[in-house]
Amino acid sequence: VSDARLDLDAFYAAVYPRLVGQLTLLTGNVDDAREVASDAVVRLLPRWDKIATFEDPEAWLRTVAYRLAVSRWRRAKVATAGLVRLREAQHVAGPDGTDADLTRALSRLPLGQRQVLVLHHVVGLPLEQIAAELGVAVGTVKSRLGRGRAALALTLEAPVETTS
Amino acid sequence: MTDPLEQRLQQAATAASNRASPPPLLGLRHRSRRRRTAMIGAPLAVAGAVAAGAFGLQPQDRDRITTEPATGEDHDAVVTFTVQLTGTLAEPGASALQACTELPGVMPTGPLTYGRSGTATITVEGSSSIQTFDSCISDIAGYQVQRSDEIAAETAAARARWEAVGSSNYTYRLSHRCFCPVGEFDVTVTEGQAVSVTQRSGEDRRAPERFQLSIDDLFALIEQPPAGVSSVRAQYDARYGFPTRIDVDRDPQAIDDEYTYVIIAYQPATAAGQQAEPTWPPYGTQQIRIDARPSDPTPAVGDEVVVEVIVTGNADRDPFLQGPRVDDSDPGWIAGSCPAPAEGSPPPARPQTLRKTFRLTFDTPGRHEVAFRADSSCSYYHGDAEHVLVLDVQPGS
Repeated sequence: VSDARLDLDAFYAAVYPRLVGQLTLLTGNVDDAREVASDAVVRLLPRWDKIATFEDPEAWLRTVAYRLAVSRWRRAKVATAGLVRLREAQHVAGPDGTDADLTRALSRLPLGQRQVLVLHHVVGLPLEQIAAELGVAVGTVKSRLGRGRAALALTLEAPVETTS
Repeated sequence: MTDPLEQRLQQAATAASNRASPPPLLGLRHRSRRRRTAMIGAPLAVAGAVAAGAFGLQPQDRDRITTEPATGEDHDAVVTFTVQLTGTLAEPGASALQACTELPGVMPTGPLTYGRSGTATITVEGSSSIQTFDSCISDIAGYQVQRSDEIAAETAAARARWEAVGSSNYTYRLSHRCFCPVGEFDVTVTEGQAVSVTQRSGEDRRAPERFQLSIDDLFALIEQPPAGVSSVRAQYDARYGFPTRIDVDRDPQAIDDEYTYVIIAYQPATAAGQQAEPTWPPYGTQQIRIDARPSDPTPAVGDEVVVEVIVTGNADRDPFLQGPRVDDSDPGWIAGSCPAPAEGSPPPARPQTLRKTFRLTFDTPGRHEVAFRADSSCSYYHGDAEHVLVLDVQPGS
């Protein structure tokens, strides 16, 4: 039993905003990010006694949240036209410091690439740990990171112009 | 050397973090508690099924239930709905209302009526949840509601029917359902007095004598609820008048304290005075089939698996669906409708379908069995079925 048992309130207060920040990049909007983060915390609460003893409880919560985001994304892909409309309607960058270009560029990437970009550049995880968290080979992580970075750089530096 | 792309990603994440004050943990705890039964429930599919008229309802008395979104701040995407219900919402409207309150992002913050007369304050978070809830609750408005004076009249009529047609010597089978160990019991009544009770099935290991109740005792429970009971709702057999289902709620603000009695068989004693095996309802049996389709039969730990469950039967009512059960102490989730039967001869059997979507997650890898059980306990055509879904959960990180 860990003698440095975490306090749930302190853990929640510290981790929730961080998680929403990461999920915003992953999902494309802060509303979805908050809903997914809350859903992940709902799953955490009944298991807290056990998870609090883990070496890295935040990794557990992050993994669950990312999977929920992926499930949500998959559902959105096959959802009814009404739900798709709702999702598109939420896709609005706010006048509050949101990096709209970045959000848009990220939303065009495959989800796997987005995940790796966030885990590596925002969470700061080494490639081996990302591979472990996602359950994929290190080579896959490298390849997703490389492609994601290349696509992002291309989009951000040379925005696609629309012509009529 | 600073990586500009990394810097930009971090700045965007930090900006979003700074705007994300955590919602009160208390609200999430409440959702977590609900999730135990509704982990399970809640899905959009239920609301969709209700909206699509899968329960076979005809909207009536639209003016008796009103809904009003009361307050809202768009930037926080939180809206408080006030649901005003005058009169008691009949099934399946009550179940449909409950399904709306179990949708993702919906947090009841005031006294919940669950179909009973009163006002419920329901906070909904997230813009998509708000629209879904709004649509769900709009579909509920208009379902049949029952006023308290009509309920009293219905009970009196049922008791009169029971006293005219019922017997003083009979056996009946009582099913006790609750968020607790459940069971089925055969009760023998002689000269109006319950003289013996035998447990037939179920996990309930407590003394079965608690269920040594005559039909008249059940009527007394309905007409004069004991202290500590806030609400009793009942449905009655059209032929004999005895209650076929009694829903008892002790505390309207608590969840999982409700319990239900369902009479699933009734048999008057033979002329020789011997108690016979209960055979009611006498109109026939039905075959019920359960089909469970998981979105992914080999999910990873933590993944959400969407299981579509379809119950089909051939009866006069919707079947009931119960599941999934986590372990023997978990009664699972029960869905279905049990409208008051029509007067006269038993209704013809016809194909019935109940659809429900369950959302499951697993904490441990390996083989997991999820049991679904369906029955037609309030139908004239008795039948039941069980289906065990096996999922091979893959290790996660």
